[in-house]
Amino acid sequence: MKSYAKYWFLVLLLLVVSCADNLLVASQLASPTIAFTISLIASLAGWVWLVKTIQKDRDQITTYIRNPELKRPGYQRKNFFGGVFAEAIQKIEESDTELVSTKQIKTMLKARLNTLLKKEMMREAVLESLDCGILVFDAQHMLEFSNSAAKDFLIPESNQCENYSDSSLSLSKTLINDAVIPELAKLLAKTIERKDATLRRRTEFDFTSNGATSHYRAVATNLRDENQTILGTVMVVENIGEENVEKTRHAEFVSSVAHELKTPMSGIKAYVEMLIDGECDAEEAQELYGFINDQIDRLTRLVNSMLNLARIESGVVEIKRQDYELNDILKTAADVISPNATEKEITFVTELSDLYLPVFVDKDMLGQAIINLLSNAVKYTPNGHEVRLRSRMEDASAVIEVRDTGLGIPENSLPHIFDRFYRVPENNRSASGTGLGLSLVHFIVTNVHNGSISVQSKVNEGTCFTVTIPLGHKDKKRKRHVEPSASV
Amino acid sequence: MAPLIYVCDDDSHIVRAISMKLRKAGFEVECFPDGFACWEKMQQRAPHMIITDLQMPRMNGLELCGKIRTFPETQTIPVTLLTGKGYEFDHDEYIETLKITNVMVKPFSPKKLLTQVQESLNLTNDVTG
Repeated sequence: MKSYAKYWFLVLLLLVVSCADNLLVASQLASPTIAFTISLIASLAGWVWLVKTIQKDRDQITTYIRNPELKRPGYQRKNFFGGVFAEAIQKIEESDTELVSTKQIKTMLKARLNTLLKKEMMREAVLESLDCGILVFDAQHMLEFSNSAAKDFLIPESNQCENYSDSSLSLSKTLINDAVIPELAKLLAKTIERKDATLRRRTEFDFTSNGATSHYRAVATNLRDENQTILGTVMVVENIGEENVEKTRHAEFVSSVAHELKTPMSGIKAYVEMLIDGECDAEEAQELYGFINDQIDRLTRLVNSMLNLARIESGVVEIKRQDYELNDILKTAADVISPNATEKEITFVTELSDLYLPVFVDKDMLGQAIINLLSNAVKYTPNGHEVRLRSRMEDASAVIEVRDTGLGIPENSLPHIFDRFYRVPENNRSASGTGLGLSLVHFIVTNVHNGSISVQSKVNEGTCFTVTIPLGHKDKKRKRHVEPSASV
Repeated sequence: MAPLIYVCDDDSHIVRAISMKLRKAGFEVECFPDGFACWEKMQQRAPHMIITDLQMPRMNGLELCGKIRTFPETQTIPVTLLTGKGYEFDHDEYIETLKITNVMVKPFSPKKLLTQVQESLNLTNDVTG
């Protein structure tokens, strides 16, 4: 049935009933009362049918519209409102499609947002994990981000005042708001003012944090997009205190090496000049040639020991560990040092264990380490005192002790005694050195032989270095039986 | 009487070379292994000039100069400082504050050292005794 058909059908029905009534009354087949009653009943029945149809249509429309799940019942075109309803349904169906695509976009955006949030969290975690301070300023020069390493360079809000602004800076007002320490505020201002050339500037400054003063380097870089529009400025602040200490130590080491090399060179030059000038008689000349020879030997030893250290530490030297008896190595080392001790009138005592101490070592390297320890003991022990070399067995280890009654090492120097280039300031003047000897000993004992080394010392009483090496030969068959009754 | 010169250096070869050169030029030379030994001797007998190394045990060259300049009896004695240090040592500062007459950087020429000694003592020719 087409649209409005029900309505026209009803009008037609009423017209037909009305005409039938008129015919019945005119032909006197029925009284006017009966005709009126028939007409009334027909009208009422027609109206009831129409109202019910409209109600049914309304329910259908309601069901169609008020359904959040978008589950639309089949559209029945036999509807009182016909085309209007059809049009409305079409619109609703179109909006349904749009809604579905909107929902998909929403889900997609949510996923994208989550990914971006995760990435941002990752970036923040990376920045937080850095030891150097990171400060990011936006294009308006306001602090936008700072990691925890940079918190010391921020001025707490309670302390922010105009004192920190530099009146000479055009950006002073902004800088107060940024609330960073004056050194960084100045750097920021200078970097922002830099329009071209390199986009970064750097500064170095001393800064005290938690009572400790250190040296810092700050590098500020302007950030720009592809259109060269300034996005902001990033500042990286690094603590270069350690780096500077290392540089100073290295410079001191080079200076120390130069001094050590120049001393024999001075002797050689002086002697050679005198020989060239013919100031010496034959006997004196012969003596000077001998001295020159000695000084060249000294230079050679010095250069060799430096190269040796560099080669051992860098792993260039091949480690040749073999089965040895420890006391044999100690005796050889003692023989090398003995003349030095005698020259300095130092009593040199060797108390080696009666036991056979089997070790699996690089003979030359361990020997060098013991010579270094003994040489130090002799160098830092005054004339007339004593140096003692001992060996013993302790559990599964061979223990070597180098003890002296010399100057001793102050307590604050003990933790640094094996550091490269470190020399005890108090004893620096007592003997020349490069600060490499003990560093090499430590490397040989711990890295090459899996042993350990410790030091005990008291100023003006003496020092004792204790070296522990794992006991035993690699080739077990060759390991000799140890006499239990033997004493150290 | 030949001028007396004290030579301080912990390196025996440098001391030997300098003293040989100066003695041959007619000076009286006394040698010390460190600044402290030199300072002790100076209190008994003041020299005409001192040649000292910078880095020495017990008392270094600068400390020795400081002592010398503190006491009226020794404060006018010319001092030549020998040093193995190069650029890292601020010669001018010490020349100014400790009134060091000359600084000679190792390795040095004994001939030049002798000339400087003679100039410091206002001697134009070799001292013959």
